[in-house]
Amino acid sequence: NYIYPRMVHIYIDEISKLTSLNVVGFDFKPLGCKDFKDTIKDIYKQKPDAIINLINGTSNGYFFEQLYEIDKGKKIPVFSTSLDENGISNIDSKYIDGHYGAWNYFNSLNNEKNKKLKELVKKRYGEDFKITDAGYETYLAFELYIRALLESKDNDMRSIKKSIKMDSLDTAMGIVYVDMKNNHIHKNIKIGKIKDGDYSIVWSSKIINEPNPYPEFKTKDFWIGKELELKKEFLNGWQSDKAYGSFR
Amino acid sequence: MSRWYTLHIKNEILFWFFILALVPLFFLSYINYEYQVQKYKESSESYLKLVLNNKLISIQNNIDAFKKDIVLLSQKNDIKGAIKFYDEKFKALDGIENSNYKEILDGLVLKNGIYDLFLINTNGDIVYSVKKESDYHTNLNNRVYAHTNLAKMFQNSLTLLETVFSDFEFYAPSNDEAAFIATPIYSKDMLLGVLALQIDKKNILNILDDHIYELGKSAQIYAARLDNNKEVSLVTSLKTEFKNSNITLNDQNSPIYKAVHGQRGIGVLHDYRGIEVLATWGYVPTLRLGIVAKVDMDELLLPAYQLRFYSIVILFFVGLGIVVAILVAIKHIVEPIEKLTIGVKNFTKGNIKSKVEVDVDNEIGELSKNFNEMAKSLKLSQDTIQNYANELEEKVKIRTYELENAKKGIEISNMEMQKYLEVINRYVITSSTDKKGVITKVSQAFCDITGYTKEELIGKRHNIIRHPDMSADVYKEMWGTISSGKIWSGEIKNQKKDGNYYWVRSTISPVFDENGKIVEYTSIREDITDKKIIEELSITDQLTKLYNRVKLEEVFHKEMQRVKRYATQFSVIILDIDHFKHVNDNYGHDVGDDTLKDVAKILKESVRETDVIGRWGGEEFLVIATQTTLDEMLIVAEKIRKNIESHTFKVIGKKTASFGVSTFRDNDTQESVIKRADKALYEAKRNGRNRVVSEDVNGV
Repeated sequence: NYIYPRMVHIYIDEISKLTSLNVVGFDFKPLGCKDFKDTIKDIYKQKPDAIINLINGTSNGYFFEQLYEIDKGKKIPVFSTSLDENGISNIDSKYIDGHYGAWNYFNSLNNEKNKKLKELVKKRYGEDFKITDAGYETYLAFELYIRALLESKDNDMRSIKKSIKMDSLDTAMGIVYVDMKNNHIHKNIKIGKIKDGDYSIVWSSKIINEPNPYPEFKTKDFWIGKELELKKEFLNGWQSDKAYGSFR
Repeated sequence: MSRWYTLHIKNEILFWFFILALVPLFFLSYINYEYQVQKYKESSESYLKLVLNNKLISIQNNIDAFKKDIVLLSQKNDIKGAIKFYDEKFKALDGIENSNYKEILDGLVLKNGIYDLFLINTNGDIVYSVKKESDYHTNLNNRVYAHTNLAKMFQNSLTLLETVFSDFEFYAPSNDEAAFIATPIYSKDMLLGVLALQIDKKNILNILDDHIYELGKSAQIYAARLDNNKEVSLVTSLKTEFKNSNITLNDQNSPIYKAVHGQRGIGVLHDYRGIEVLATWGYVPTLRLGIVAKVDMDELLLPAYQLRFYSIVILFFVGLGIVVAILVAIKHIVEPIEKLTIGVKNFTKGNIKSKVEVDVDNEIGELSKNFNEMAKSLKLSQDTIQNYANELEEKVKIRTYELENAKKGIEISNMEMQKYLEVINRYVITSSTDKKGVITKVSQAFCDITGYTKEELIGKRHNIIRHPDMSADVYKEMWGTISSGKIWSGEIKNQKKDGNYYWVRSTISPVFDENGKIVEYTSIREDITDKKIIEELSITDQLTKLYNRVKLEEVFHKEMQRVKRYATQFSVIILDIDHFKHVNDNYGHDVGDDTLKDVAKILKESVRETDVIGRWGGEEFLVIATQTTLDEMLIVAEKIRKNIESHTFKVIGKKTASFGVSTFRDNDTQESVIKRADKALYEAKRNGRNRVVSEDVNGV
């Protein structure tokens, strides 16, 4: 229950208005929550086609375990946005195998660059170490910074910022490109299916996606307005929003 | 002189002038060349980078402009109305077009430089297109069309709900390369479909056709993409002059390959013709396009190559100039030097009349003249010296003759001297010792008399030949004398190697060094053994080997003198063997003689060394003891008596003797002392023999 999941919720809600997508219910839980039983019961009653999971951290373990108790056949697939390979490895594969996750980088990416990187990392940090999206993006950002530093030939920040624009690189997660306006990275989006503590990639976008913070189907003003509302509510401790979720 | 660079002076000068002049020039030119190359490269690099950046920005701006256009378009009510209208028409299979929408849509295409415009419903049906090519009214989900860029972009825009761009690819319905932009169309609260625009290549990439002649004829920009077979495929045309060459785009190290694989960079690489180029490359992610800006290194470095060429030409002419200058110099300097050298060489070989024919007006000429002068005066000097030499030779001959005669004389003298030395060596007993008495030299005569060899003697102390009879006092006195620097002379009894003795009269002299310090001692000896033997015979009783009466009287005399001089005292014992006549009568004279000998032996063993013993006559013996009182003498006498009494004689067994003792007193003579002793002896006999009786002091 904080700004990011609520913003995503608004996004999904807006998409559902435009498409055949139908949100049958939603719920927010405090960070570190361990009890999802009631929420899961409510979800299950609605018989949804899929669950979108924005839970962060160790709570995922409780969620998937409690979900499994009710839906042993895993008839309802769960799509997670904050569950990386390290998160998976902390959960019994019985509970999560077959569910989905979305990232730009997966440890299982099957290309030469990723294999080489994994080898080096394992040599240094041990066999069990897994590179996750967050880890890889940090590594990549540093590499891009170094390239810009070498290119700019002096350590003046303006010069480095100028050099980093439009730099592109063939990487373990595909081609990346630094946007010339906002310095964010153009990159490929992927969805993976969980199997044996890892993701196997089932879908990836056919283009290199732009780093566009404001989805085009609504105006920039619309998104900024929503964001400000959420910030205000957050600072008031979500007072005005009595309903914690649609199930309450 | 077998070094490889053995050179005549001519070549040497030529060589070093060459080195001195050309090496710095060469290095300067080289450094300048390298510097220029670096400079051209650096300036070209920054120029290429700038060009590429500008192109990338321009393309991105074009893309953004198109994107903005299409999004605005999709939000227009005309478009929303049009797609609803044509979707319904399509579904109703109604071919009648509404001319109102058609006009608007066709007008958009003309106005914006767009090749074609498509309206696609959510099912993938192309419900409207401006150009009405073969794709019109087809379904993009149909597998026949699903692989086209239009179909892909339709899917992407629906999936992502975003505006998407396709690559440039051959599009069959238009029979040309084309790219598509697609964006979703929404009504108030639902998705209506997709608006797609087909764009001509030139509308986005026209920028790339600009030439960059500033960098040279070979400078160009080109773009490529990865086709469906993952191979590099050109999007822009290459420069005409290269069109017919063999083109390889798929070399991993070529700039275009790197570019289409999403890399950004700059460097000297081999391009599609295999020619070295300076290139910079970048990527346009929206169009999946790689772009390269390059210039051939050969052209880039042409000014540097020209500089190198001119440097070589200059080096050549400078070298030539040096050769000419040196040839002139050789005529004036080197040739005269060579002539001079030959002249000197001849001179050195002994050709003193050699002359140098040099006629130049410089130091070498002067040197040659002086050399000739020198040679001339040298010849003169040599002649004079020759005369002196002849005279000298004559003198030497005479002198040699004289010297030879003198030498003969000396040889004779030497021989005589040798003989004398030989005689001395052979007949004079000489020896030398160091300060401690260690023998350093001995004569042959010394060896002969001692019985030792030279080797046995040298290094030993001189007392090797000391005879035990010689008292230590003598040697003490001798060393005292010679060590104080005086000459000592005296008679010495020595012992030979075989134990026999000999007597010498020895004169020992110290030898001094220049500072007056004693270095060694030398001694010369005279053999006086014979004289000594005779001397001994005259004072010895032949039977007992004791002193005879002659010697005893001499001792008496000496002792009396000593008493007078030093006020000392001496005493005498007279002893007589008891009943000796009886021995002679019963056993014969031989046994008698033996008895006398035995008694003499007992006497010797019973008295001090300094006491004198002698045979006074018949069976009477006399003992003279110096520095001895009467009482002390009585004790001595008693000791002798006991020794005789306890002795067992060979034949006769036990024998005794009687003793009379007296001491020398003032005014005594020899006779008076002996007389008192005799009187005491008589008393001893009278009182029963085998006893000692003192003189009657009162009875004098």
